[in-house]
Amino acid sequence: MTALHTLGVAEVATLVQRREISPVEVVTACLTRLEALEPTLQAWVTVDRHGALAAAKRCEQAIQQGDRIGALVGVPVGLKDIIYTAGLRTAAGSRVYANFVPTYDATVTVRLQQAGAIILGKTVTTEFATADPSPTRNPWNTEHTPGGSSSGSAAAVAARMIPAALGSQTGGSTLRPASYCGIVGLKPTYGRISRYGVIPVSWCLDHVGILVRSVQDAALVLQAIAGHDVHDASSLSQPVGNYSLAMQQVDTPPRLGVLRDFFRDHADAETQQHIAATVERLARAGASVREVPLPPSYATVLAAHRLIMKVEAAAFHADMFRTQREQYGPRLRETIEMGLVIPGVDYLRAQRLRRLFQQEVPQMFQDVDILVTPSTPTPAPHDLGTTGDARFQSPWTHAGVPTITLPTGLSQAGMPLGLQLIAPALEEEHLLRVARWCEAALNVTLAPPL
Amino acid sequence: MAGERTATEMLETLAAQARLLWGEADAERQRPALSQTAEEIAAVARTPVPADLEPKFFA
Repeated sequence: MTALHTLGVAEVATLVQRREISPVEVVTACLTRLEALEPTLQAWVTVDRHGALAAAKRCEQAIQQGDRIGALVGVPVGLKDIIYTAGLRTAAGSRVYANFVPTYDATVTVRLQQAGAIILGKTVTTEFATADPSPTRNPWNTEHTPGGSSSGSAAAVAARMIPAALGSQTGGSTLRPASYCGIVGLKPTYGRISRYGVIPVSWCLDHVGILVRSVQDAALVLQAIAGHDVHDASSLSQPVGNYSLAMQQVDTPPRLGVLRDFFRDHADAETQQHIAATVERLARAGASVREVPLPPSYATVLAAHRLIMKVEAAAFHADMFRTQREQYGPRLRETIEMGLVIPGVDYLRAQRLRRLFQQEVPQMFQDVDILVTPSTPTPAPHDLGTTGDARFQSPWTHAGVPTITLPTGLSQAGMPLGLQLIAPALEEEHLLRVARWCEAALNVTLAPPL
Repeated sequence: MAGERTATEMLETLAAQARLLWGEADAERQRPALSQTAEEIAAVARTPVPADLEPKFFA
């Protein structure tokens, strides 16, 4: 039988529902794997062994009693350590929040638990989900960055410690670490997943992200946590799609729009060649492929994105920063310092340009279903002093449109590479359907040599 | 006018504000980051925005 710690979300939930495996066995297998690899990978801040085993036993009893169970029954998950967990420390990778214990759960924590998931603990984040690197190592090569800011979530899922984790994305903090670690990372439309109880970086740009090992697993987790939340003013009231059903409707080859220009100019030669070969494979499998130009407003996307993020991060941290400036890491400190001196009129101009870009993005989909780019300009850098380059992911976070990264192969140095798929706002069903088609056509699953 | 500001002019404005907030030594340390931020502001400032386009904070 397959080792339990290697099972994905759908497999665990199905086998637990059929009573073929016990949630206690699954949690125990994941904890054993976690404890064996954690000294090397440093993916976890808090492992709630006692709480997870107790939840698994309650889950087992519920199944035995024939109680109603959720779609994620028995599935162990990790939560990025900026997501509130009542009674469980949420330190945000920060000395400022080192002893912070929330008194309530984030909405995503509640929804995961309601769906039957078992919270194994809190995964490492960079400081306040920004750019100062975390101690987490890349499971493919511990001398390479795992990316950030959802470093621990990506490393833990890639290393088969858990089948799923939540992260967040303000620039590229879900898709980039997912791609660097060879797994699937999903960032839905802005507001699709509630951020209530998630420590912010930038209110206008923050998204909750999902890190898993297959598109089907991404669909299952999204189904469980998506939807309006009265506690989050920015959460969408539009109906949630049927993402699980979308996984069964993947027969039609998609029309793919390839973005070159900026994405060709900034990718290294190996990444360019790899993604060109990947797109060629998709075309041979039946996808139609055409080149799509970037809209005029793309020219200022990165500058506007950085200005908005600096000002909003400074706004959140201003009071704490005034009294605890020395407790902040150098990059976040610099971000806050810059945010505090940017004039208000320039922040608002950046916001107006963001709206202009949001108005132009839908025109890119006139003749295609989905846009594709390399997920990152290079594989994970051989440098633990960086979390990598967000330039390929942050334009779409800026626009608030849904994106997903799929693993597509390995570089010459043995590090994962990925394909980023981009959909119009609110089109998660469509994105997941096309991603599942591409996943099946490429047939690539990566497992690090651990 | 915003569109006429150069990165150099913007840098001096930001540096003056930083000196007021943090003092001379810290403002000097921040010079590379201030310079990058000034470039970003200049890039945003020289891009035309339709007069009737309001900012959109959420969604």
